[in-house]
Amino acid sequence: MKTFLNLVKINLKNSMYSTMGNKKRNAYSMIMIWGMIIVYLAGIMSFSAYTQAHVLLAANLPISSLLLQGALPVLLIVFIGAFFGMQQYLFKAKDYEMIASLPIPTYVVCLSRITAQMLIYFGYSLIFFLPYAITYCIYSTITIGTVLMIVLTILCIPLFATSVAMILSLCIQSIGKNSTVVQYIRVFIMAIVIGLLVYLYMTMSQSSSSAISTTLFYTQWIVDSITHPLSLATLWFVLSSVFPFVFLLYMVSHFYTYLYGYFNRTTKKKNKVPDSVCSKSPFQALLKKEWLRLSTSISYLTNSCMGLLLLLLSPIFVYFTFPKGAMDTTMLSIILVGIITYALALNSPLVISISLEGNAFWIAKSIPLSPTYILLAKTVLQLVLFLPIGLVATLCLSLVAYLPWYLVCILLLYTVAMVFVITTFALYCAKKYYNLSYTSEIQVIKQSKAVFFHVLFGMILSLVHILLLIWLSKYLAIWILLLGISILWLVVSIPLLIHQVKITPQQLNNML
Amino acid sequence: MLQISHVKKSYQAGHPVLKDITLTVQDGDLFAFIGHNGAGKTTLIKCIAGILNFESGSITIFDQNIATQPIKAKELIAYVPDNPDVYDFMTGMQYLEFITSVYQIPTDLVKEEIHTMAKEYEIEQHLTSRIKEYSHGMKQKLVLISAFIRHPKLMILDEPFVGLDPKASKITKEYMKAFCDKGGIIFFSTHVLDVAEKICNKVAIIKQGEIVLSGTMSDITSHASLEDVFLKEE
Repeated sequence: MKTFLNLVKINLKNSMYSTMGNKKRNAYSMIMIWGMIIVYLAGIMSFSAYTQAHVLLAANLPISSLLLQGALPVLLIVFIGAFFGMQQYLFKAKDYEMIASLPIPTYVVCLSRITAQMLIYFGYSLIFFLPYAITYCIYSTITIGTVLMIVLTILCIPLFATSVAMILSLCIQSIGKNSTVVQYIRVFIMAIVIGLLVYLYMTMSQSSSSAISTTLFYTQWIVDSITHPLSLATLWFVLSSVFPFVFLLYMVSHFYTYLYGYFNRTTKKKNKVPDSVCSKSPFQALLKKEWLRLSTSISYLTNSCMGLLLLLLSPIFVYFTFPKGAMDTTMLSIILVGIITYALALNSPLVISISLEGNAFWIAKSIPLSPTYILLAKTVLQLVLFLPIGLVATLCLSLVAYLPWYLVCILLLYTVAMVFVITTFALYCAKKYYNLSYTSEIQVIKQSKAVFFHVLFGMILSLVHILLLIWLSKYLAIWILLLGISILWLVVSIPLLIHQVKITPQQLNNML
Repeated sequence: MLQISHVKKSYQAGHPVLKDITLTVQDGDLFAFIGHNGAGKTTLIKCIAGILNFESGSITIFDQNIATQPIKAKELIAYVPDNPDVYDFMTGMQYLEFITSVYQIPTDLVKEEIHTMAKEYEIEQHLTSRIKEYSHGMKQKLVLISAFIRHPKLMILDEPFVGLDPKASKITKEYMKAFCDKGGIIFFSTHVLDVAEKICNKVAIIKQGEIVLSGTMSDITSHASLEDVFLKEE
């Protein structure tokens, strides 16, 4: 038991501290950053729960749907995390060989690793689900059974999501872990799950919601077990959450050595000549290297370009949500501004690119090139990806929203300005909050300090723009406001970006 | 010529890692740099390679000061770290192409050399595999190849024989000797004193950030083996 607790402590510490950069790795900083993340997420969820409750009440729909709306983000976030990350923690942890050489049973090692990660997921579950549960309690009768079931739900959802995601991920990867087809299958399944859960969440405020949710037994059991704690649904809900977890733990512990060998086995890919990185100039070589880094890592690619993907999909959402004439041009433009800004800042390749140099950073430091070129290559890759995709998405958004041509042009200029602003801030975060000694790249990509501040900045920027435009649109035409904001940001961000890119060899050497 | 004058470096105030280091390495020298763990070998090597700043003193490589003209100085250097972590998302060949592109060496010119060296090191068939599939020794061989094909004037090697199999060690020693015979300088750290005694013409011993002994190998080992001299200095 003592060994198990020690291992959990080590693994948990490892995961939590990975959020920090290379600097100030102390408990105080860790509590500060995680505290901010918790407040930030809980704030969003509370606001969301409050608005959804009002929508449900106004539409005369059962308030119990709110519980499902709280459960869906937990299912989604834990599923994504476990589907892509758990495998790394279990089978690719750098301390595997050290731990494996100790006389500790494999089930203790597995359980400690899963438990450490599960504790973080329980935390997420609490932050995401609790605001919805509290809102539900405000509008309905509370019993001790309801409260107990809410606590149980917070514990059971991560168990269910982690187990299902891990089992699914292991099954898919058993086909061939390095096969490109398998990687695409993983992304495809992930997209289906995200699509389904987002669709359920979006339609929950409509009358069709109950019909859809009942088709998914698990989601219906969540609602039934809280609203009627002594029903059979409670039993099914608990069993369906605990059983997959026990099954997963048994299978993983039983085949741990085999699975570790499988996931770390070197496989030779035949008949495939890799792309050449021969370049005419050193800068081109650096650019190719950055592209190769991004394109060869599914987790890096999917996480960094999630915002771009959402931006590309947003015209469909706008098309169905805002039919022609439903809203005036000013309001529609303001909503589009919010969507564009937030989607662009959701994550970016640049913000984690310095951290991902990791132990190979010595190469960048030792080559006879100005470090400015190294940062420039990272920045150019981001601009090359974000500018065209951002512009295409904005054009589609503007077209489906039937905006007049002059507003379309200004919105395109606004997108260019936002790409530069976000790139500047991403580079600032990348330089300030880098983490070269990460234990798993998933930690850097998903839960690093740089990523958190970057997303927070995007959200604040998006909100500030929305509020500012709503306020000022009473006095000035929207096109003047958007043009003004765009020009202002371009004038500010471009010199700042140039300043950020410039770096001396001494400054680079100080990055340890 | 590599000239190190009065170099001082500390990671924490009041705890110097390098205390006033002064060394001169002439063209054609195969210079062994030995010392116990934590003596400051890797720190000095990183300072010479220009990847670590130092507080005072100067390091000049063929008249190029590493602190004031780092780009020009780095053009003359090939550095091999003690832990050869390279871009694991690349294949071995891609990494070599990346290095040749950065150093602006036409790949066609060194293609034959790459294949000859890779064949000798027995990693030719692995050049098209991703580096993440390489063992420590294979990575070490790849980094050594990438260093030799650059034809630098100065090679700085930190523990180059760690992880190499006996055949690869022998080949590396031959390459090192051939490189110095052509007038190049090799400055390397090692714990393998037999090898240092056998192949090097100069040696320096560092202890707690200070050079305690420096000179030609023949002078230092005239009365006792390098191992005995080293242990005596300890």
